[in-house]
Amino acid sequence: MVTTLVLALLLVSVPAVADSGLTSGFAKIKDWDETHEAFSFSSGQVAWGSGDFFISPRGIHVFESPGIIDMGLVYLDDVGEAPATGYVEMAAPVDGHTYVVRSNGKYGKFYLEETYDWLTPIQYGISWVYQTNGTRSLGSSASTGQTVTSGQTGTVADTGCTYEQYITAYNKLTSLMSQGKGDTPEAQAAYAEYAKVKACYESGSTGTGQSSTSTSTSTSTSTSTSSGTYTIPTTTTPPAIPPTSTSTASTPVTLHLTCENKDNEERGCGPFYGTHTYLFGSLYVTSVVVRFDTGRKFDCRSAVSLQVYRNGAWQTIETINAVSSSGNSEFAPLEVQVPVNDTIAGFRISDGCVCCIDFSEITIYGSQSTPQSSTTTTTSSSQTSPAAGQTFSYPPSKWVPAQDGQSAVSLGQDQICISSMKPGGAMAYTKRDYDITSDYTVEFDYMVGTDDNHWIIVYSDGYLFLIIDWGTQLSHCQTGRLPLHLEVNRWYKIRMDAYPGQGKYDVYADGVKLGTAVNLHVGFNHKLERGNLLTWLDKIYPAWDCIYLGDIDNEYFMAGRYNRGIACWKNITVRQSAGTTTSTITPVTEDPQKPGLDPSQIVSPPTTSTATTTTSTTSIPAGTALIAESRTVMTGGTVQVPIYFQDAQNIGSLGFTLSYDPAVVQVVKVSKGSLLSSATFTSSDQSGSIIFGFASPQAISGNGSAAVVEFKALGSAGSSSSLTLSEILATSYYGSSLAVSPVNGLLTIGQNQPGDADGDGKLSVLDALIALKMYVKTLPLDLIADINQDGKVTPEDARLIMQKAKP
Amino acid sequence: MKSGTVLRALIIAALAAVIIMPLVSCVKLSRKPASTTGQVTVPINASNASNLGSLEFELVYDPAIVQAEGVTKGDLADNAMLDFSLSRSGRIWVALVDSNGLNGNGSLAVISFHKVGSGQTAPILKLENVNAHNATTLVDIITSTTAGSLTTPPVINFTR
Repeated sequence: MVTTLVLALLLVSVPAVADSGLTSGFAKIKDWDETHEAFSFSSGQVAWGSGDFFISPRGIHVFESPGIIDMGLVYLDDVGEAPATGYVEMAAPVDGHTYVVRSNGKYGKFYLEETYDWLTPIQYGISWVYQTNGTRSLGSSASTGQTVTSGQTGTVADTGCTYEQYITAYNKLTSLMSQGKGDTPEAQAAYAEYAKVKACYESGSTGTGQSSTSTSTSTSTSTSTSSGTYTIPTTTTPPAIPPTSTSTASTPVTLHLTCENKDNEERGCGPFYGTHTYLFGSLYVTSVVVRFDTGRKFDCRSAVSLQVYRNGAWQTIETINAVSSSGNSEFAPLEVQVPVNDTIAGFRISDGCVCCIDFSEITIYGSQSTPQSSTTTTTSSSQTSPAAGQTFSYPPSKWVPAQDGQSAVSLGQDQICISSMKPGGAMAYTKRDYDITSDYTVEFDYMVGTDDNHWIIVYSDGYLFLIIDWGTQLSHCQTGRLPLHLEVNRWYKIRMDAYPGQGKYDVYADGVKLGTAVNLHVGFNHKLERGNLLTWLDKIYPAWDCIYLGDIDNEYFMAGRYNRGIACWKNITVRQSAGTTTSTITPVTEDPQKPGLDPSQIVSPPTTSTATTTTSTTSIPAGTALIAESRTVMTGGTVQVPIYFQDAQNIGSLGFTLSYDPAVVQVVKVSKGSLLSSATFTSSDQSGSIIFGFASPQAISGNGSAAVVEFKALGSAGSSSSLTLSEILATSYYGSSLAVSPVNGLLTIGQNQPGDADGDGKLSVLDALIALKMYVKTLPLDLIADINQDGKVTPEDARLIMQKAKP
Repeated sequence: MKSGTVLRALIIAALAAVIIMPLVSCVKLSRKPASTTGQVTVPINASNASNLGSLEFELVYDPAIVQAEGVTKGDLADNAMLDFSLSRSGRIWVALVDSNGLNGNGSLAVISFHKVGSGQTAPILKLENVNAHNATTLVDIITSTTAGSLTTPPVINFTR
């Protein structure tokens, strides 16, 4: 935001006129209600009482009304063309949103950079683009303020885009991000396509009705099918579901939690923009009834992810393609029930802020004790006042990771590490147990892993605030920075003594006092002497009872998009005291080992990718493993043996050796598998062992085959060759070694059951495919596929194999 | 005279009972909510299929709300061989084979459901145990899934 602002300031009052008719600039507009100041696109200036539009806390209003559309959380450059329809009288001013204005027959757009609400009167900083030739073309990132050639802005079809195009683009983008490819040209292209289709779809969905889903003016959404109509129920009360008894049941528990923000404000309660996060402690949950709504109108559709927090990670259990608005009515909640049947500690609802969840409530059916805490405005929040002298510790197991793109959070045995790079970010947060209205002391060990940090929060809890805004120098939210440049890969013992009653806190590093922040109030509802630091801390943090570490976009409560850095924390403790605390500087023993980052602990976001399951005679361990599958093949026959990679985590390179008995089998072909298809691949058969090597420019995660080896059986019936994996060298994309468990296979020379064409010991759909391919002679004939024993392989064999493959 | 009147009244009452009883019965039948008895078809869509030779998956649903009645081929799988199993309540197994390979986006299969529940909750249709293989190389294909509902098709995304 700061960078954008600075760059934008260079454009102040200098509208650049391009051949395309586009002008652009940056302006600050004062609150209309206080000043009657409005903005004129044609002059690029603010003026008293006249212009195209004005802004006040009540809303943004175009004089020639209705004339404004809130395009949502998109960048200015993402809006290449003004929608033909859908203009309304007023839109709520939300930082980070782009708006399209229609005034006097011409179109313009502006991006609300920041609301300077600590000023009196309030001011609004906007970056704007105006089309002077009367067309709806509004340029793009490549064209703003520059000559726009024909075709650059005409990529959005006037007829709008279908929902299928929209969701396909969305899925492509999110799929790449879930694969850890968020920082690739492919992902950038996918994002550009998504933004284009999204704008196109939303502009068309207001009146052209491209979607196959019909809408009504009520709070229901109906879809016609060839055989009837089904209406999504919009009941206001979750249905009562009796708790299911379970083997672990103790006391049945029903929790009803809610999270609500102002409609259209679209700031989620969770740490991600438009995301609602509920933390309620460890609880055995049988099912959850979820009711949610988004803050967008016009039948906004999005893929809503329902996630549970278990085993230290958020895992998606359901994804719902949802329409949670209805026509011009923003409020059209949806309700679903999802089974869980597991012990979880949190529940999350998110749609990546395509439509932005602005209201949700969940009813949890389970057993165990009452909830411990919630990060949201829940109905069950019950925080008791900690006693004076009480000490709270926050080991890694207490923290919740949140990451985006290729950034990652590691919650190790004793330390928390984040590796954040744009686009995307990484942070950790946890419920705060201590009271920030009475004195307390926070201590922790802190280390940066790079000298290129930007806007990395060292500690933030609603009163204390310590960051590195650039490089390695600490700041404490006051004018100027603290006089310490941290050395990279060195642990520092950070201490902060908080005196909320006095409105100040002291900051120490390794026992040396660095400075004091003053004029403070709990909850950031104060006017700091900020210097270069941003100000929107004021209005967000009071709603939270959390502690934050890492790269967080404070404005939207998502992992930061522009920030970067590597940092670790450990030994985080807070000691609560009553009244005034006497500061005592404790001598600190510096860690002589100065341990570096442990990138091997860095984990990737969970992926939903799946691939073929494997069959092996060896038990397969949980976690990351390389599995040589077992096969059976007749003498003289050939068989494909996949080397399956289970639970790959941010793989950057991989090498391993597969040993076999050359007297029993012969290598025919070695191929790259599906999971590592994007990697560079090489292999070498050394007659008895195959050496494999992969190197990938991107982090690879998920499940699937790493390689496929085709063997020819040389041995006699009854002989076999073990397939032994060794010398596995797996390195993460971040350069650290990764532990991969080998699972060896066995290649047996012998008779399969009829129909088991791939020799994996079971009948499957793949066997049917092989039979079909044998029939059309695209695979060599092998009568093992002749399941009906008529001496030939035909489509009938394929059909019979499929029948027998049924579960 | 009085006995004739009573007799007439009895005859009329008997006739009325004969006429009214079936009407009452019909009214009861018509009170069954229409929305709980409809048939719904849901396509299972493919996204970015590329030389898809074989595919099997399971669709999980809530049998208290809907019951599966059948599976037919979708537009994308017009040339494919399809099989399915409804033998397990709440779980449909579907398999497709096409040695020519399926490509692009579209519906792979269409599931017919019969609504039996109260209709107060939109059931989630979840895809599980997806196995896919390339028609030429027979190598596994990486997939991800998006759950759906009776109104939004579940999607199998073929990511590579």
